Amino acid sequence: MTGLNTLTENRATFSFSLHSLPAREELIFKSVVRLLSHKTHQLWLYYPYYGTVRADLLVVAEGSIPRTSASHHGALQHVLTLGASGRSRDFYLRLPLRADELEAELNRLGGLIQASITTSNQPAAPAQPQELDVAFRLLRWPPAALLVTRERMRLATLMTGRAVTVISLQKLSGANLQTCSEFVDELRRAGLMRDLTSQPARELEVATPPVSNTVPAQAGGQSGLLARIRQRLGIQLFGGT
Amino acid sequence: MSEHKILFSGSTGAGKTTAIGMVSEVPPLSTDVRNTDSGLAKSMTTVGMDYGEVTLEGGDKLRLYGTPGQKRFEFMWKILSKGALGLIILIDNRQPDPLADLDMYLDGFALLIAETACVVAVGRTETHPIPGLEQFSSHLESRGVLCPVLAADVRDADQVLQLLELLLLQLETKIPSESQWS
Repeated sequence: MTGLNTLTENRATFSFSLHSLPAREELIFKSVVRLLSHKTHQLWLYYPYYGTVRADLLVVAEGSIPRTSASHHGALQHVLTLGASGRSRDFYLRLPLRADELEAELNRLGGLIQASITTSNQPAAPAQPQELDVAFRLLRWPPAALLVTRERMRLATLMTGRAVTVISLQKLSGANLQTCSEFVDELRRAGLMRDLTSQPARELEVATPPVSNTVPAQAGGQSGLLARIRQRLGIQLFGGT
Repeated sequence: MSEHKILFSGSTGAGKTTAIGMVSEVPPLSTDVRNTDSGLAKSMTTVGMDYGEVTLEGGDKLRLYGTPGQKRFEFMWKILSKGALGLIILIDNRQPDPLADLDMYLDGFALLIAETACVVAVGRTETHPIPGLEQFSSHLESRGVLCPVLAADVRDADQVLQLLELLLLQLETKIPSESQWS
């Protein structure tokens, strides 16, 4: 696995939302964050302000008074203000944006967020081996930054119709267990997965169906209509690309 | 011999005809006519449907239908939805309100989406990046729909195949057993 997996191996994933900024500044901000994503200390993902997931960082225009609350990580949401008139100060960046200044501010804020999460005793810990059979449900389609390979796109798709455990996802997909575990962990840290540990047993049964009920032969099926369509169209299953 | 179908729907000009042509083994049959709608920047538009097909092992046919994009053809959406395996929604991001376009198809194909599979493909994002994929995902979430959302250029056969691949994968997660599709 290349790309994001490697990059995020030792990095936390945090999210940001934009509020009250002109469309042009929004576009520039998101673009610069994306360009910096290979070097910032944390991986930053964009969530719309009006979405259900409360981002770790709220970026606002100078003079606006947004509503803030606890982030999905449980820590207080940090606010970064962008403005053209103010002097440089904490949690403030002057427009037009400079990539080096934004990088430094993101790294500083990322450190603060990481510290506040640790303080609130909700570390963004990677999945432990004993968590491989914990059921999760995908809450929404992940951002493109987390879907950097076709394999990840396929894994995410397999999570759209049912709850999964890392083990059931591996069985459904035929993908490498570590690949599944890392992907589920990143989705968890991004606040995109709901833990179904407390759900009734019946729902958990759905989460971990016997693979033979879903997939006739090998992963993805080698017989039946779906397999025949794949075969005819030349669509390879996991491991093919 | 059995027949199965997959639907392509979406905004006028989003590329339904092109997408079907990329995978069909016969030249796609289209019911394009000269466009008289001054609001559409194209000389021809589909007023009925597009059709393509793929022959599967055993002689079964996979029929690919492109539905007309305009809402006034909603009655045809329901007819075509019957028995379909799933739906690929093509969104043209050049349109004035792509999220409203998405809403129209989510409403028009609500039953099909709930019961089978759906993939949303957003086109022309390289020149029209707004709304971004995140906004589409967020919008789908607000509508209670969880399905793949990706940028796609349907002039690229490989990208059309990826849309079909994700559709089949999603379908697989929604059915208890493949036996009913055999």
